[in-house]
Amino acid sequence: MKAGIVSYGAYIPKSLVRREDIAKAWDFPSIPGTKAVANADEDSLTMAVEAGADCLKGIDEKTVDGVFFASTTSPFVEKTASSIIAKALDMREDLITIDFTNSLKGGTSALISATDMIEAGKAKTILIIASDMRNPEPATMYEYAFGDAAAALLVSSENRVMEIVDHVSRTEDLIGPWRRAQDDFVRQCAGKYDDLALANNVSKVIKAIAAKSGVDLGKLGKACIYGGDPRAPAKLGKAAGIPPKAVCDILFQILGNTGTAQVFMTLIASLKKVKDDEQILLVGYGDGADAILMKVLDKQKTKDLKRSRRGYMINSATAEAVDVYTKYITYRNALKKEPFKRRTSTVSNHREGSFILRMHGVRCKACGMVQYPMWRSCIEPKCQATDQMEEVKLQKRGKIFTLILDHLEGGNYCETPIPRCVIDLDGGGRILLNMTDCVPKEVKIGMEVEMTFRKVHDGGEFPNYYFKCRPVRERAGSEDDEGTAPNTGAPAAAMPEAM
Amino acid sequence: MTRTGIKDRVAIIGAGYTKFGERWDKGVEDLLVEACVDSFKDAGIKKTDIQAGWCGIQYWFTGLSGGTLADGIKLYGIPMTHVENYCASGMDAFRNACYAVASGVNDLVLACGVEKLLDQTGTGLPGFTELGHPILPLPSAPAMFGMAATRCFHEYGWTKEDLARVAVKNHANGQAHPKAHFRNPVSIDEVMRAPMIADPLGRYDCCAMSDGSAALVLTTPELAPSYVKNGNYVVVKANAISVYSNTPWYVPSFPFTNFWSTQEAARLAYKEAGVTDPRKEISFAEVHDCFTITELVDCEDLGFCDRGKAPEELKNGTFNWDGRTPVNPSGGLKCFGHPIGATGCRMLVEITKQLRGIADGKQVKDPQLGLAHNLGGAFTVAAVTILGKPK
Repeated sequence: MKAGIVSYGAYIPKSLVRREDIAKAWDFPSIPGTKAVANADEDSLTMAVEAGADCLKGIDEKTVDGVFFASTTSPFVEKTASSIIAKALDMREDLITIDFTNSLKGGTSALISATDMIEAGKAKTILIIASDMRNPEPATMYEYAFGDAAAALLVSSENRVMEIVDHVSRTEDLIGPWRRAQDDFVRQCAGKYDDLALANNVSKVIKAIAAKSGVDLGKLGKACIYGGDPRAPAKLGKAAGIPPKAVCDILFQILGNTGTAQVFMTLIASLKKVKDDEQILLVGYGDGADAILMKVLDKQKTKDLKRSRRGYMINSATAEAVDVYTKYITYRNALKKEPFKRRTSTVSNHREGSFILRMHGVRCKACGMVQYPMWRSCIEPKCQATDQMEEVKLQKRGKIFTLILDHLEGGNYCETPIPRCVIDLDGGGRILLNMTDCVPKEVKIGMEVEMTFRKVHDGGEFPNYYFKCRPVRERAGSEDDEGTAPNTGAPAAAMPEAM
Repeated sequence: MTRTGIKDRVAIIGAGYTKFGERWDKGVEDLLVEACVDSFKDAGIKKTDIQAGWCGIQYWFTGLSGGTLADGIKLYGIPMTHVENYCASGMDAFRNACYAVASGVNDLVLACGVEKLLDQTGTGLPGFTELGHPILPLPSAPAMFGMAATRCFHEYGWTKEDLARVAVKNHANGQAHPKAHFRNPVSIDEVMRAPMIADPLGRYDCCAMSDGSAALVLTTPELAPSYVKNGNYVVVKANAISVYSNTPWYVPSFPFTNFWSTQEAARLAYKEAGVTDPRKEISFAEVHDCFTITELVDCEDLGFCDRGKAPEELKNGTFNWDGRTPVNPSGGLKCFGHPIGATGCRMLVEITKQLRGIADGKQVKDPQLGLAHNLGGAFTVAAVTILGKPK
């Protein structure tokens, strides 16, 4: 049975930085558009959890047999991110988790590996998440380019909406963009040499897939080709004989170059219009290239999925919250502020994974009250029953019961207060969560909030992950609406539709 | 053995305290010596007459174990215990000392408290990166109480100005007190315009970081007259502590507009003291005004006014030092600051002196019963003590 795509999802952080603000900061010539930037409490792992959750909407996470995480910016050099992601997505433990790191083509390589495993009968369903938050050196072209985002594909031999027809890969050793473990920023290959290497690898891998699969490149419906700049894919497509209108927008104008996530992001954004049997080519690049040929099996289901997936939407609320450049460089610790730390424990983090990462609570069988975290005895003073608890999965949405805008964090005064929200969760349970991605003054009792996975502090010299809340990120417009492009100040024509 | 309670079984014959404030030039030893020697002098006893001691301290950097008190006043060989129960640490030290006397094990003991906060010059309470669960959010102290303010604003329509009146009243009282940290009056306008700490609580809604110590010498009512020849000593009428969750934000039924621990401690204390109508019978009170919102809720939880009506009563003068139920005639935590382990004992020193008619600040008129109240943690630990005159 051939493997195929069952579902997809994505995550775009709330803040966008205008390129004109970067230009102003450095007295550079401006280029149009924006780039997506992760908040200070986000990293490629937390964004991956968001994209994964989006992809698994309406799908039982216990049916997934593996999680592949692709990124050049895993928070760890030793230790997998995929194992944390699997736990935060409340998946099974008899799971294969692999991190595909160090290469921009990690996403396509993960997809190829998953396809082969599934077709070999070694697994049925694998979740692939590509996520990147690359750090550009300030005042370089990379700073204009690099954007942060995550995209997920669920691959399986069943319930496919698209089929993976064939794939080829090639490798080429070249110091293109690179970063050693001790480097703060991505380093840039000399001059236009990297562009030549991209052209060389992409043209060879496209020729190879055409030869292997017999596909007529002139009849491709879509080509999602990696590009370091917004014009590269069109040039590469043209050179390969792919019709210009088939070459998909890589979303550079609005998101920037989202690294490992870029090819999947491009694919997901392009699925607004699909035809039955349409052939789609993905080309990933980085120290070589991967080409994957796919075919649409069910155009209606492919499009329908898009309606229920929220992560790829940049809604009107986002557009209002375009952040200034100075905030962005603070997020990236360019000012070398001491990170927030608390006394922590690797042991308790592991022991308490069920309520810290899986967000489970308990229901008291004596009084029926759902509560958090996972107490042995009922926290309701009228009950207090011991060992009458059953573990339950809590809903990640609720309403604010009370809140405070706290200007103190660990004894330090912060000008921008942290909203600390006491939330009554839908379906029961009360929890205290800090709020992120919000305008503190606008937070009110009764506000609808949802949980988002974040890095909460750096105590113990490891990222301590937990949930925060945020105002519900509703998609703008009606259910049928594919969303509105944000008003970023850039010409409307530069905006990709449906993102 | 039947339960007998503490009423009329313990007498306070000595009370002493330090000047509260930024005591940069004094350490824990200095503060303990200053308060304890003051209390020994007041009781007319020698240090070596003391048979056992309890010392309320919250923070590890102030000191751990009974050794902190033993070393502090250089009194070795007798039982001494460090008591920690958040902001009620001092009053719980007093409770333990009371039990030693009431049980008949000892008949002359020391209850004291001390905290040296200013060595840890920080913003707000120190140690918040060391305390609590490693991951789950830990709001600052003003944030914990601010959650109640937000909810009270929502349910009762209270305003920031209502909170400001607490600060204005307490600063007016504290102005008269030589031991207070702050002795300046403040206006509603000043309080309202102060920088935010935990919005809606601004700087004047929060008590200050201060150093201080307070001490009490306890004996039996039978022996008290032999120490206090004029008979002007006080007796313990009730002493109760009630403890609820450290994390009330996980309790689905917690209202955030009133605090269960205070209500339960008050219920127990009133029962023990035989108080049926606190509005009439409690002459005055020192309540835990760590934040302005706390005092308003305390007044309701202690039964000094109807639910939701504290701001109105405050505005009408009910809680002024010459009102129906004077609340914090000393100036409260607002003016003394909150050296955590010391605060409970500082309140009891104040009540004792008021009942004896020798208050150092504003003297309330003809008091019969005085109430002291502490509230610690996230409304977790409440202590209520009622003192009165000997039978």
